Amino acid sequence: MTEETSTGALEIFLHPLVILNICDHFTRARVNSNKKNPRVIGAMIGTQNGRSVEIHNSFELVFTQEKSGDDQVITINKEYLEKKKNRFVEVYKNFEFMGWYSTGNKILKNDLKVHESLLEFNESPLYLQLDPNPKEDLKELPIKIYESELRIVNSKPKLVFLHSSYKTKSLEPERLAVDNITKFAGSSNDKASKLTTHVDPLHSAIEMLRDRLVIILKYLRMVAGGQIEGDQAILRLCYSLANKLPALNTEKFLKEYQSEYNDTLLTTYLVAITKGTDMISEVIDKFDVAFQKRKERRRFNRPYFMFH
Amino acid sequence: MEQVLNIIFQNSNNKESLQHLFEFLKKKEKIINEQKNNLDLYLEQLHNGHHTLGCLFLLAAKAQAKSIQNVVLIIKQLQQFFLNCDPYQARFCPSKYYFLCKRLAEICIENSVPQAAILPLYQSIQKLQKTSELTPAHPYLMLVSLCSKNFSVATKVLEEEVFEIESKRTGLNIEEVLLYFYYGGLIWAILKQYDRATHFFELNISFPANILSRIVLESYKKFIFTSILSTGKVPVLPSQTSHVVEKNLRQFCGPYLKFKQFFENSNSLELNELVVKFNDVFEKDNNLGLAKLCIQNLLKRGIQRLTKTYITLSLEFVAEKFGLGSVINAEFYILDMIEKGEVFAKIDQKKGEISFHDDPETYQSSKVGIRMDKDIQEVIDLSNQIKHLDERIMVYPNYIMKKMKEDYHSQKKSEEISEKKMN
Repeated sequence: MTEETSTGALEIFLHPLVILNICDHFTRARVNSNKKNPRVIGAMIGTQNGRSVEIHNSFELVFTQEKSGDDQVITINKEYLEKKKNRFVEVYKNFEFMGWYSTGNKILKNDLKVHESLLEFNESPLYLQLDPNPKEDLKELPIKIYESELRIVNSKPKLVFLHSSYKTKSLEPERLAVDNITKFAGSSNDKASKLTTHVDPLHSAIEMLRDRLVIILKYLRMVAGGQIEGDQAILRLCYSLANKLPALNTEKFLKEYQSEYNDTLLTTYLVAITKGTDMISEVIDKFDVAFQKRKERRRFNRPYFMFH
Repeated sequence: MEQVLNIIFQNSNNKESLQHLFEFLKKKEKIINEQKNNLDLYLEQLHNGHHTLGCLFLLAAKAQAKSIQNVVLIIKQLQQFFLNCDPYQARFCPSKYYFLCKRLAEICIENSVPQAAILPLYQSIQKLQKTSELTPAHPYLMLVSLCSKNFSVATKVLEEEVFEIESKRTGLNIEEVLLYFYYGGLIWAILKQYDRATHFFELNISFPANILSRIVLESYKKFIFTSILSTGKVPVLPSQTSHVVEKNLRQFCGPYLKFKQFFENSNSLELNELVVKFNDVFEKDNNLGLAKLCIQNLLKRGIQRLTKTYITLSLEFVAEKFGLGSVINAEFYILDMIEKGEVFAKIDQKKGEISFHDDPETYQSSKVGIRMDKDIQEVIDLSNQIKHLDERIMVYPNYIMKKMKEDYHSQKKSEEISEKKMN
């Protein structure tokens, strides 16, 4: 199905809580059902003030999948949706049903039908699609939001999905939570620790600085060698840059620098040794549990010699 | 027998047919073994490099004989074999290969030419060893080096850390492992690298064991001495030492434990008396030399302890405290220590005083930085190896079963305890 972009009538703001909820739902479904890519469906709630829509929260929905012909027909359990929505509204009085979400990366035909069935809850609900297996180098969130528009095709009113843009908005606690998750959960890469996440950006920043200095140096060398004509403005900038740097080549500085460097190395060494010893003792404990028969050891009263 | 030779000639060139050759030779082993006297003739026809597998079987048959007539010939044959053999072929029958190593070592030692075996054994290790693996040839190389007092090759091998043991493929047994570390520890002690010697003996003591082994006992005795010589005290046995070893130490190492105690109390008179009293025991175990070295060490440790309390000290005091006799003796002794770098001090002869300094090394040079970088990298590599070991053991089904049982038991116990408390 071709996707068209909407006219931009609505300003949509998405909260990170919704994204986390959907991811969590998907992970649980995957663990519980042993399928690789189960489809999960849920509802989104939020507020709408004129043209700006904020999606604050989401919850899961009970649905049934039936095969009719080639496609899967999905019917949502509306009673459950009602009940859950009312419970939320009791707590958050401002929230309304905003739309529904599902996982996947393409729009299927039957999504329209589901969308139509939800029209009784909201005249123009939104449809959010999360791709649980995005490509690794994708830099944005793998989320697409679609609005629906009633168009007349072949003299029949038909709903069409229109792709719309959105922005993320977070409250202070949400921002802190997301920050914490990125720090502690990290990637599956064990080498990332708090120190490396702190030091890595520094490292890349310093590398960038160094690359630029190399370019400037090359330029200056070529000007000195007469290969390029020097531009006075640029040369003046270089001169002022060089003046800003403190004089760093004294022997005293080198000594101090070396001694601080050695101290840091020493601390790293100590840390590495401590971590290593800890790991060794864990391995020994596990080995003990797996291979030593504790009860049999107590029966030895006399030693037995090995004859060589 | 001619048939055997022909088949060896035919099949040794092709890599696929080597497996067939191996099985054929195994079947014909009896025939080969019966040929005792004629083996030399046949060996001359075969080439060590191309027909390694065939040579292996023939040489093994020859080496099985308890008494060897022409010693020089067999030593030469074995040397040539290890020099030229093809590792790919030899891998088919590692047990015979290492049997040859063992026999070479034994023959050379019996005939008082241990140095003849050093180089061939070293080559044999290099050819068949996977990285950082312990082979049965290691302990024999160490033994031969000890007998010939020639340690250059042995230290090269000892410096490579050994991480892997695959007993199925190499036919390694526990005796050989213990012997390797025992002999290795002896070699390090002779070379006065006492910390490495202590490490090797400690490994021997802490091997998981159900039965006490004489090698472990001897290792413990030497462990006491070498740890005193390297750090001045005997550390507590590591927690993974098996109970069997701990329980039986008192029974069999009584004099040594007393030595340890007296050393810790730094009582040199009593220590001397003890050594005299148990002279026979120490001498029988060949530890008398180490014991005497330890007594000398006691004096050194005493003076080093003085640096912690005093800044200046009179020579008379030192002579009195340590029973060194005259002031001149004390001065001589301390001068010796200063030269060796064991203590940092200045002697003022006019006043008859010593003043102690701090260590002038500040560890702030770039050399230290480079060295630490290298050390950190080594530690990280080692940690990665341990992590692999950890992961391997975690998924081992035996471990998971036992762990579940233990958790179940401990849960039950805690429930019982809480029930008792409630009632």
